Amino acid sequence: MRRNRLRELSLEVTVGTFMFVALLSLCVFTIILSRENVFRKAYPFEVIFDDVIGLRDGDNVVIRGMTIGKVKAMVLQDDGVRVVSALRRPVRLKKDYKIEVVISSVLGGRYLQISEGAAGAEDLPAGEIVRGQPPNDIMALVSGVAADLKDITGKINAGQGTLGKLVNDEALYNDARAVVGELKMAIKDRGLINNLETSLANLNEITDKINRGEGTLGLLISDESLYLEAKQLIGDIRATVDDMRETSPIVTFSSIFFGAF
Amino acid sequence: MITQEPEFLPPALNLRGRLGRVVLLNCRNAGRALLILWEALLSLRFIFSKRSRGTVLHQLYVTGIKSLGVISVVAMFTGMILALQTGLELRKFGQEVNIGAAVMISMLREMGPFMTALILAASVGSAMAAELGTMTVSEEIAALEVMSIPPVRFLVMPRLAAMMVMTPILTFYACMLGVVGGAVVGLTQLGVSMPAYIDNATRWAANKDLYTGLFKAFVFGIMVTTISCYQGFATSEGAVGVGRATRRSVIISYLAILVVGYIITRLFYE
Amino acid sequence: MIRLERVTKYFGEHKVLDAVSFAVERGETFVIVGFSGAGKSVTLKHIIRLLTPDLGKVYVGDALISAARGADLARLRDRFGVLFQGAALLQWLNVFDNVALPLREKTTLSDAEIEKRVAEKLSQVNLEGVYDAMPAELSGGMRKRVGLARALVMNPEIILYDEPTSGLDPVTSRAIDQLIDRMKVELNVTSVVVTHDLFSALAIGTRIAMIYDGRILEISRPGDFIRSQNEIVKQFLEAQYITQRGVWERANHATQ
Repeated sequence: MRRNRLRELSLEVTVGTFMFVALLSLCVFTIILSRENVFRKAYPFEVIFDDVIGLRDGDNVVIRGMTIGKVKAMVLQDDGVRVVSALRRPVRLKKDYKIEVVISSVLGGRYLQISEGAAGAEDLPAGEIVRGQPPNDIMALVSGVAADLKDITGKINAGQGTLGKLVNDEALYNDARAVVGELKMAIKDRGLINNLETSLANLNEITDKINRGEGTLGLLISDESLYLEAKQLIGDIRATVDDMRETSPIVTFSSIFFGAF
Repeated sequence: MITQEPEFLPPALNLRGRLGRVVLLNCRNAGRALLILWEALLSLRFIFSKRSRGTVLHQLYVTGIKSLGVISVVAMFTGMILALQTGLELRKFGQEVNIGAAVMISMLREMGPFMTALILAASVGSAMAAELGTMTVSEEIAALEVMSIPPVRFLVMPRLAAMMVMTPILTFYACMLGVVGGAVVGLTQLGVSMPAYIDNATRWAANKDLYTGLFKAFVFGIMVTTISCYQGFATSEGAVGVGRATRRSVIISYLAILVVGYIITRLFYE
Repeated sequence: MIRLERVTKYFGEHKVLDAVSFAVERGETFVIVGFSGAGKSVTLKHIIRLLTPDLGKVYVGDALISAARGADLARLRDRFGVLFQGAALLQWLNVFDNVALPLREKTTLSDAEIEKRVAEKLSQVNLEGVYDAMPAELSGGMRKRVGLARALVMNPEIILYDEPTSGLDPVTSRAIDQLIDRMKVELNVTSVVVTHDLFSALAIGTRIAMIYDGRILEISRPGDFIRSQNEIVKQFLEAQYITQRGVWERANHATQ
């Protein structure tokens, strides 16, 4: 019986230790997953958005590329969504502040970007409601533009060798202008896809030339180099568009993978 | 009463009769199993009483500590396989850093509870069925009943308690080891650094993933215990019967784990 | 003390017990003998309500055990101690814990009291100093004695023995017989013994009942039992080399 008691004791110790360690690490892990730092003082920060385009609790808050906190909670209100975040240091906003939800990768991660405003600008009065920028969904924008571009390049291809037709066709020209404008906006806002940007700069140049040469179409048509340049450029844009189409499987793959559970 | 009278059914006359009998018998068996579960849940109130403490402790030890070895190996390799497979796919898009999230989330939500439950059903559950089955055929269960010691309180309750506690804990342990296994593969095969892996893993996984997984494990633990103990008590015909009870307990547990696993997933992730 | 009234039991189409009736008096050792599969064990299981009769009634004292439920049944069963055929010891508990089991589970005795009671019961069955042995390490006879100690530990009024000597060598069998007899003399318990071992039946029984094909053929005192005129009883006696003169000898045809 003495032997039994002893065995039971060592059993108790083993089982108890195991459970204690397991529960302790479970607690630690829970804290890690809730992305909170319980030991550091947090500064609350509230901002109201019209649309948070899929921001999640626990996403990072970033100032000038540096992570300074996490999104804690989001509350639906009459005038939008109130996003409450906890920051590790206080933020002093200026009058020309800008706060937006930014998509960090094609996989769809998001973070909250704060620009306090220019150093010399006036401080934002205390108590004023902070509002975020309206959504600017780059993916939607880019893919919309890409579709337009494809459309145009298709038309250009069909009119191969007759650039005159391109230039003469007022509607097509206007199309190109509109697309370029959109793309310009998208690229300026994000600077996300570099070679698309350079292509666009070139396209811009050409359209500018077309613009300047308005009424003197003969000059444009006779300018062989301009023709070649335009052709080359359209190729570039198509390649970029193709690239973009190629990356779409990643998005699809990950949405299937994470949707599977 | 747990000891059942021997059963003798006249041969069924036609297909419909046979089919109806199968349905009815299965419903009755499920009902008996649930009654055992109910009684065991009620007797959980004796869990800390002096007479139960030793058995509960012993079962905790058998279920928890003794299963650690096999669970470690299985969990580690599950994590490694997950990391390797998803990693090789993701590498095509230059996204191999996302294996952290892939491994962590699949372990927490699905593979952790699933693997743990299957292992426990095959090791602890089958042992329960065999033990109780042997006790049934050697009249030990009848002896307990004659001594007015409720077999459910005496035998099932400690096992149920141990499984309810240990399945979630072992699941958590399996998840952690799986994530470690994934990290090893990430580091050696895919060139994903440890901090990047961990950052990616913890960024995507949420507490919801962890706790639905643990809840799932908890339910699996209860199911495996109920099924195995019922099969043990329903044993007849000596050693052959014990073998049959063991086999059935494992098969039914596996099926139940799969089906209920799907239902729970469906409940929490619409 | 125990009364069966026209107990009938079917296993499927097969009638295992056919209107079995008998009464066991207080202090008696009632032995049920018969061929294998005649329904001896089934009868015993009806007494303790491990089986419920399809027809007929089983009384323990004045209570109808064949219809008792829940706490009533538990109270009735508490009056019994049962020695199962294989002793039915719990394999993972040692001898001491096995015998102490009913005390620990059903009483609030202190550890010291439990130890005292277990020691007393183990010495009654001539087993001392094997507290730590596991059932698997014991011989068949020792296992039965531990089983008997466990049956006795709650001081029951009635003890049921299911094949107490089966699988034991003759010497050990006689030792068990003596134990059963001693229980009757020392503790004045009522016993019901199921056996196919006629020596043991004749040695310990106050009355012997012969069951054949689910029916009681004969109930009589041992002296009358061996002189029975019933053909099947005679056959049963002769199969174990017991003649009507009551002396056991090698059957003549075996020596001639």
